[in-house]
Amino acid sequence: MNTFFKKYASATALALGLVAAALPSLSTDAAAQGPGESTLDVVKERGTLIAGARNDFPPAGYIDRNGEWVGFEIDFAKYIADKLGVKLELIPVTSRTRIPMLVNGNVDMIIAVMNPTVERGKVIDFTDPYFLGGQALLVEKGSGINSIADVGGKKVGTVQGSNDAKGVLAFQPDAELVYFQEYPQALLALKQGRIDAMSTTDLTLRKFADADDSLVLVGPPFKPDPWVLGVRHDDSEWRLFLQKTIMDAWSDGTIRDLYAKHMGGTINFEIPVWPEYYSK
Amino acid sequence: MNFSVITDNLYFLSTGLWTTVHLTVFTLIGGLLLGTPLALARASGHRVLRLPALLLIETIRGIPVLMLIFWIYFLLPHLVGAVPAYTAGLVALIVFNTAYSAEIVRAGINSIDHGNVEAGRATGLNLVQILRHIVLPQAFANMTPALMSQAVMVYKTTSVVFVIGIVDLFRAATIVNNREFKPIEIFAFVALVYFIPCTIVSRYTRRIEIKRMIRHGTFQKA
Repeated sequence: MNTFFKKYASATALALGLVAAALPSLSTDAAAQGPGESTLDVVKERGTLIAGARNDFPPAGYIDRNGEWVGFEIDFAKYIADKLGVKLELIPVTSRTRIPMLVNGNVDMIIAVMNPTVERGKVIDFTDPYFLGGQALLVEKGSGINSIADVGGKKVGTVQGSNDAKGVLAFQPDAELVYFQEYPQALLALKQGRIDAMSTTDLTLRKFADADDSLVLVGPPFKPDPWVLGVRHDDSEWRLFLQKTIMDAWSDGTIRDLYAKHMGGTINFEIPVWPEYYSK
Repeated sequence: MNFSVITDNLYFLSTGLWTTVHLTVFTLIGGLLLGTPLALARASGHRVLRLPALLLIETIRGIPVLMLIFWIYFLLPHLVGAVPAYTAGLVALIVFNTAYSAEIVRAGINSIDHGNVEAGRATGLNLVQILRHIVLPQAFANMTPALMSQAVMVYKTTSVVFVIGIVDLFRAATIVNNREFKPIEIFAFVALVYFIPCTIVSRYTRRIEIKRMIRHGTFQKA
């Protein structure tokens, strides 16, 4: 058998080499962006805006019963694509994959319930907020937890890759954090008493509290939770275009309408708008 | 318990299942196409071929598939530029399956008596002809049960691609659960969808094995 394979060896090596050479053809052209060229031009030229969005985060971005993308951020991404006069393509991202996908060039921007942090700023760039959520706590009724200060030494559930863990620790360094893959798992753990509280944006928590009488949202949010668009470093033209589009969406009432449609009720805060800045 | 959540979201769940199915099929085909030459290299008398093949197979078999997916997901863009998550996931699954398929193919080739090769040479066939007409057909027949168990394993393993955001059956179910909060109903359904084809294939594999044992006269009723 040995001499048999010895002679076959060169053919084997050739076959392996051929397949290895064929693999790179599976790549995409999404990152075909020359140095110094703005994503703004790339998007207009392509005729499609590729946005990294959440498909698992109601009411910001999720999939409805017909399998369609819906949500506050999905409609806002459509608004941005309309302003550009291009089609919208949505790529699903998670807390962990959104930044690598932007940096690698899989997407033109991140619109995925993302907060700006110094840490993330080292890798990507942000616009100003298009929305302000607030980080809050969800607890069982009668838990004795009435503010973020009360979770010292208590178990608080958050989701991996999100910024919520740091938010909790900034206000209560003694909290014991427990990480989950998804919010429903944290919710289940809370209801089973395996954690004492869970923490994320108040929109998500309010929905959980509305659906279950034994759960209650603790007070007003302890930390503002600005939602920003993510763009690649050194692309001011694209970032400022998005910035202006955010202001347009505030001044023409789009954000207010989308809030009423997806979150329900009237928005209770304002984001300052100074469109003149961009027209000068 | 209210299973209407399944029918309400059947369309989206079925798109997830479709992704799982073609991921499985491509992974099996890719693993076999790459695994066969790798097995030949692994069984080769040449140290230059055998040792790298051995190292590759043992390394891949020795690391968790979850880690492999993450690693390839971050590695590929450095080699070939931006790739969709699907491509990264598929490449990782094929790499994973190649190592396992290579061991199955090697065992299959080893199961063929060396006399076959000698007989082939005696009739004047060259080595490629011997491989194509004598060794591999018999080897693949012997490998069928092992390859089918591997297919079952790959079908279940594809569920780990959720970590890089590919919407397979498991991820689709997670997304639906994030909106509907019916984990018991949704994941019971998903478990069933994984369980049924796996069981059918396993039973069928067992039947093939028994038939072969009867043919070879080695079957003993348990």
